[in-house]
Amino acid sequence: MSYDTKAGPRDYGKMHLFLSYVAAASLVLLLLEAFGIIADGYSLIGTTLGGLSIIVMYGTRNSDEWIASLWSAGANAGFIGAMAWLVFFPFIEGFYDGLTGLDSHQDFPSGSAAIAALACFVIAFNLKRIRGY
Amino acid sequence: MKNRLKVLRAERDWSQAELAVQLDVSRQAVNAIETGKHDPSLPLAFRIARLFDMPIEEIFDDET
Repeated sequence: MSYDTKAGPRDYGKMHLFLSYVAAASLVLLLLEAFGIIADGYSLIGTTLGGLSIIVMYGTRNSDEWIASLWSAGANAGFIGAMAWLVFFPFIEGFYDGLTGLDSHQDFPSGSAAIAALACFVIAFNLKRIRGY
Repeated sequence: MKNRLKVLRAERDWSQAELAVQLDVSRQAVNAIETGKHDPSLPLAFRIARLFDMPIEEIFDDET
């Protein structure tokens, strides 16, 4: 059997899958930094790695239909995660504070929405990849 | 959806990578289809059927 050895869509798919691990690693860095387990400053590495990974993954998302389905699952979950973090959870928190009369601080800072979205993306992407849903 | 892709590929002594090249998808996509984690689109199912020279319904079983 003869092969077409030039770089093609399937090679971008391999890159896409590798970058999903990079995105997961950047998420771990961001979470460790957020919980104070590692020193401040690692978030810059995590943000840069995560941001670049997602940008390149966006560019390679249609390399084949399975990769597209993984991206779609992750992107859907990321969108829902961001909306929940920015709208739904603060609404519930405000409602609860109103009921109990406790005027606590904002527990869902909008600055963390990107981490929530990335976490939802990575979880959904890898669930779909490993389990098929 | 169940399919006979793995059996058909083995009968021809092709690796997943070789089949992936012929279908113009990633090796991981072939693996996902074989293990039932991904149902191929209609165009890809037709490509698979043409490659193995079989009707789609003899490769894929939608009743399970």
